[in-house]
Amino acid sequence: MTVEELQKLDLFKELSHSETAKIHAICKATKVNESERLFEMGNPAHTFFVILSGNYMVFFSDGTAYTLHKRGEITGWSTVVRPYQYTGTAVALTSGEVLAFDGSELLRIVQGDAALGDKIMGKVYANVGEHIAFAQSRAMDVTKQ
Amino acid sequence: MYGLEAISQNNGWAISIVGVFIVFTGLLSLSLIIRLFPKLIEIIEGDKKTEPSPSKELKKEIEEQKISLEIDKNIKEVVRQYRYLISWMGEPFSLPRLVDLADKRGLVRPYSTINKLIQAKVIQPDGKGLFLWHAN
Repeated sequence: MTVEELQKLDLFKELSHSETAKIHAICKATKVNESERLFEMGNPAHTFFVILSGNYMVFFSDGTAYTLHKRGEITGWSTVVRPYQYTGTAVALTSGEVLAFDGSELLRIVQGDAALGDKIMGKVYANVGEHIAFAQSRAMDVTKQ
Repeated sequence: MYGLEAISQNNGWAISIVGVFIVFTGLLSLSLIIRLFPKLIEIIEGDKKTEPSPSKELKKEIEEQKISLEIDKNIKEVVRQYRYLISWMGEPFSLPRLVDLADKRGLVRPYSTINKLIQAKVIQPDGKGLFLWHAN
């Protein structure tokens, strides 16, 4: 994936070319097979994912879940949100491709560049807005365990 | 007195046989009761529905017709299998539990099949993290 292609994703639309290049340096396109897990609940959140293709389900210990189907949707945002621990488990419903970001590198960039951090975090919250309340209540459960 | 002689002297063989008989009779009774469960549930569920409504078969047929507009013939059998699982689970249902159940029942590619059912809006989210069957 090129910097230009990355910039077309909703999450990075507001970034300048140089800012997108910074992000581009820490991402890696990865193929995912049906039923493959991207991350598991309770594990340290090391990787943040942007969907390029395929369909995914994020589910929680109480049996609730939501599904992701669109290019540019994100998952694994516990990587940039305290307590940096996955609150759910993400599994691929079909084979597809995701963009994987190293969590600590992403956090370093977000924390090191306030303007860039604001743009990304704003988009993260907007993108996952409908799921935030959903997952935050489960984050409490995870931290209690 | 020890060993087999003691067992014989104190009716040990007879007691053992009676014990085995009791255990097996118990297990047999239990299996028969469990076998009757689906019928009992059907009777209980049937009694709940007091309002006059179209027959189950007719309802199924109407639903099948609606679905067939959206998905192909092969999927119909899959729809039937998943509808059965969901009716067993009750609604609203947990999507990961449905995947797990379908997997355990040996249904082919449960992840992608459930995705197809979601895409066809046969399975829809209830907005609270659970899912509904063909909610319109």
